[in-house]
Amino acid sequence: MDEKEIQSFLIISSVVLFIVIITMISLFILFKKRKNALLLKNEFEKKHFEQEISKAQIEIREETFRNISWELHDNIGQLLTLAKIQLQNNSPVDDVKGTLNKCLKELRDLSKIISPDALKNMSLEQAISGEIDRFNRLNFIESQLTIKGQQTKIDSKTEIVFFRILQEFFSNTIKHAKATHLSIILNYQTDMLIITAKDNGLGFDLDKQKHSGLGLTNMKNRAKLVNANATILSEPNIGTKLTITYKF
Amino acid sequence: MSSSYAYFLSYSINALELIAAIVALIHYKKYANSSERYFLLFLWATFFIDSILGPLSSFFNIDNTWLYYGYTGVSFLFYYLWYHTILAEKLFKTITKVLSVVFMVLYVLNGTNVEFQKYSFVIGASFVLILAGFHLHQLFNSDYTLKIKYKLSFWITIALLLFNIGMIPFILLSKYFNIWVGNSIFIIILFFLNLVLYGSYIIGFTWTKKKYNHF
Repeated sequence: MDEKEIQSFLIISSVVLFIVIITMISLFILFKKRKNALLLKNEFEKKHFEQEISKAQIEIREETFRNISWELHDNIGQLLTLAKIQLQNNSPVDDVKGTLNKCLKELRDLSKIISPDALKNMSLEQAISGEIDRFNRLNFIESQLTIKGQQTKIDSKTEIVFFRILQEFFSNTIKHAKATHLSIILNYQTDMLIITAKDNGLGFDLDKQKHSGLGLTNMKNRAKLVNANATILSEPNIGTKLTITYKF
Repeated sequence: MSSSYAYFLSYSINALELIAAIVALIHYKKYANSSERYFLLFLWATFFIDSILGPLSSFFNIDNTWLYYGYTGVSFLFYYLWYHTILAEKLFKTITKVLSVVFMVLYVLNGTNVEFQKYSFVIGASFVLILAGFHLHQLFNSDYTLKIKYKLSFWITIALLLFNIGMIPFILLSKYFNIWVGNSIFIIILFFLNLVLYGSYIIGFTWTKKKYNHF
């Protein structure tokens, strides 16, 4: 091997080695950076998710307080007023007793529904049927819940989000829609759950109306948070329909 | 340097090819459902051509330039096809197709002159580098980044990237200094690059986990 060969060998090998090592180092640095960025992003998303769940929980609690106050005023308050009037008018004792018994029963039911333990262990079906019972009892709106298929257990955080979305829908129906009928269907299929809530109220034009007040975007975003999809269809004077699809 | 040492290194490259093919076979179950499964066949074919057919034809004094040139062409097209399958973005797929066609045209044109055949390798390798870059871009923007060492396509891409990025200056410079690549001392550089190539393959096949290889 001559001098020239050795020289070129040294040059070539150092260039090759240099390029390979530089590539390795830059790949490593790039990879580290991406990994850290991704970890941060995941951490942030997790935090955001937890925050949203807490927010939904707080809103459910607020709604519950509102419902209690409503029920105390409209239902139990009314019954007690009736009993008082009956006493003032010297109505038969049995009538007063009947009214007071009814009042006590309502009070017991209410206390059962709002005990924190009951709220915590409630499934989505129980929570929805609780709401529906209340609507029917207080004559707000004629409502019904239908469950189709074999029920599948879903994560409790997901249940909270679905319940809050439905609660918002119910509150829109009662406050704005002037509907007479509300139906909810929980359709459990082999690989997904389809929740449908439908009223026969005033509805609105999806294109025209700026319905930010109705929290439609909020509903959709919340569904997205738990990898579900919420769609809202509405037609003036026909009604509004909310569909949530969730793949197991 | 003694020529026996060069022989030893050149056989070591064949041994590396064999080890990589065996390791790929042992761990086949882990990537059987992914598009990386064709690499098993590819690695065995490489070993067969480079370590058996090549030396045999030399032994019988048959000109094997065309064998190696043919292998170069097929292997690059194989890489392009693989990247075409695993690249998700439409733009990347289109570029892969264009590069494949460009490569095929230049490959045939260069093939007519033995002097230019080396440039086919340089062109093919440069295109592999581009596609490897696309794939790394895709991986680094996915959740795979967190568990990248279990992803087989990452290791294959690293292998191709490091090997080809070293091979390009190696071929161009040896051409510039007018030295034959097969010269005994240059076997050291070839061996080093092959060690990186097959080493990455072996690490990839050993470390990969089934659930990370499903496309």
